Amino acid sequence: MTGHQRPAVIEQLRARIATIERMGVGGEDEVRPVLTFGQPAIDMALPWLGLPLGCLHEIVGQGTSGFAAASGFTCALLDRLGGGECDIGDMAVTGVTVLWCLQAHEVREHGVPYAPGFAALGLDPAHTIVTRGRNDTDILWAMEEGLHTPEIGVVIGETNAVDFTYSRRLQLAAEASGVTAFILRRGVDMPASAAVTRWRVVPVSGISAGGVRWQLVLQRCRGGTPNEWFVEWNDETGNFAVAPEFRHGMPQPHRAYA
Amino acid sequence: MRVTAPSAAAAAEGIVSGLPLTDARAQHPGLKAFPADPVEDAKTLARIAEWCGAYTPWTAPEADGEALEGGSAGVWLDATGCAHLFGGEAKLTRMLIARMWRLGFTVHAGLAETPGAAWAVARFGQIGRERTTGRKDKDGRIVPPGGMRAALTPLPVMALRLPADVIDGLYGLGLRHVGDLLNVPRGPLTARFGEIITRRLDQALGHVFEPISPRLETLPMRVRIMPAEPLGQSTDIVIGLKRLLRQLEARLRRKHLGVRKLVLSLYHVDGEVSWVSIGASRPVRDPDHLLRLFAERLESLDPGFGIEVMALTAPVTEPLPPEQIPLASRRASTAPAELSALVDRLQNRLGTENVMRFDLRESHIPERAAAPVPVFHTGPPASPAPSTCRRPVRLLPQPETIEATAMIPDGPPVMFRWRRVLHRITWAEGPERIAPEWWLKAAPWHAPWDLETRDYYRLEDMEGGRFWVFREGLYRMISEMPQDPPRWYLHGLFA
Repeated sequence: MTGHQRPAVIEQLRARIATIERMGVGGEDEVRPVLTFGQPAIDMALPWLGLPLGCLHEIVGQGTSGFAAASGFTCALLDRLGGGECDIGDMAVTGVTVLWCLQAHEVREHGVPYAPGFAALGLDPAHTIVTRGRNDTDILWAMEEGLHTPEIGVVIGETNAVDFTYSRRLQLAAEASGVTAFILRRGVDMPASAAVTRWRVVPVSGISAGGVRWQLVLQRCRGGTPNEWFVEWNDETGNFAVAPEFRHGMPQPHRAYA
Repeated sequence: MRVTAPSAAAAAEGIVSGLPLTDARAQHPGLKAFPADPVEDAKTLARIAEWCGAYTPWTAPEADGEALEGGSAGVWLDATGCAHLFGGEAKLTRMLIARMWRLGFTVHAGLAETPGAAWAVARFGQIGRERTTGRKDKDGRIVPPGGMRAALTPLPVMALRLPADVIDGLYGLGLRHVGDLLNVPRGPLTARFGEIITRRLDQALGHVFEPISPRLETLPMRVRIMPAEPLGQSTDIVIGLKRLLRQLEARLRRKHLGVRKLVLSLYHVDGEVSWVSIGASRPVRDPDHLLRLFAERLESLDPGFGIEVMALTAPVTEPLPPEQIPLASRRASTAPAELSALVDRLQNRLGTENVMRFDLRESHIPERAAAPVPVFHTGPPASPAPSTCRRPVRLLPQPETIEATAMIPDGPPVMFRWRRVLHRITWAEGPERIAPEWWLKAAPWHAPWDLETRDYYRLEDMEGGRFWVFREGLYRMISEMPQDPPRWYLHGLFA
């Protein structure tokens, strides 16, 4: 190899590395479809100005209520996806088909997604395929099968057994097909993962009693910084609202029967 | 104890079935006897019938009553349209006898145009008198077309599958051979012995059709291959399966059909038969898709000593019009195909019942408001209950008992203990009263909460968790039921 060829080779290698790492901050040349929260406070904090599609995201909920909140948050995200406020071409118009993979013994602990409930949050039961696997292997296999099918818009998997290798595998499958994957996990001993973002959802008391209100913690974000917000979900309009910071910490709950 | 089935060697020594065992032992002290096991015999016979499925799809083990008293039982095979695959009837018969011989069975085969005649020549045939081994009986006994009368004439009357008392009666009259019966007038025979003799004669001669039920329903959509060498590797099986699928596809395409269920039968060299079956959520005939569905199952399959015949049967088919190759828009036509392929793969690995979609139903009972249905189920359009109340995002499979404390008897709880954790309630909404559906009868399998009115409350605890709980039954006065405080259950979790 002669000397003057070397810069060209290095350029090529850089381009390859950039392709491999295209989920990083760079890559302004590539327009990736994103899912916007509709709230500049959150969208601007993410390096992609929204949640990138065709990627693996982790959503963590601690405890049974936390897990329900995480499920609700995922449904709410999908409502925004189906709502057409995302630029993924005509896909949003046809409605997104969702594959939701449950695990048999986790179901006993956390319950099954309840159709009238998630329908109210904006996920159409007619377009939601629910599968039940015996173990984590089944879940990961089903998720990967779903990620290889372009007709599926979103794959949700409830599993705790995703290690770095497998999450990388899912991430690559998602990138290849453009299908978005969410892993719903209980918040116990979480290993490193190749997911693009990791969110923790904590249910908190709403300002209006009984309203849907979460503390969203962006724990990990490739190319971004961790952050947190208090959001309220309005299922009438399908919108998130960022609650202002409270001056004296958390709002005091209503003591209805104290 | 009596002898029921003497071996060929014992029969040659004069031991006949029906002889008391002690007499037989007195004649031949070295006689070996094994207890008869009719149940196992029937099972073995059924397995042989199964295995013969490699040669013809129509097989049936002989029913109990058909076997002669003490005679050995048999298997019916309908070789119509199959013999040419093996080089003719004689070759097929010879092959079957040789294979069974290798598996350790002594068999006699008879082949004729009617079941009755085949039965007769198999057992009493004149062609080969050597009845000791199957090997000597190589050619079997084949009755040429139209030759039933000639073949049956010299045979004893036992060959007509008659009950023992009828045979005794015939012997008493000096009618020992079928030929004798053919020459006697029928009227007196029927008057004396009933219609059985004439019926059996007509059946054997082909004057009357004799229906026999096959062991398995024979299906028109069946393809089979017999490789030159037994297949011992799973890769070979896959190659064989590909050929079968292509053959099947051609036939399905001609008839505009697609399969919903497919059974692959593998006939092993050692007489075993194994099956792999798959299901499809929509009619399919695409070989690649079907092969992928089989791939999961074939991994766990053990070829054993080798597989000599593979057959593919489609028990369930549905109309599938020929697909038109789209010119302009790819999008419109490919959508359901890929999705149904995915659903099939999921169903075949996880089980059909584990891949579903929820249909909203018009019911206020929470469990009935969402009904699991197959993914491509097309029922009446979903008509969700006109509920304005919020529903939880996750529902427990079974309502779980909680210990709840309420301030006032028919009010919402102020705290409850669930899974050993105490939740203090800061906000409550309710009750939403859901009465049981009175038009549905209470059945014994119904849980107690199914039969009672439930008062649902939405609760929020200090940590922000949102719960859906209910009290079973209407509140009754404490004075009425002091021993029976209302029971509370947690049913769901809100987002």
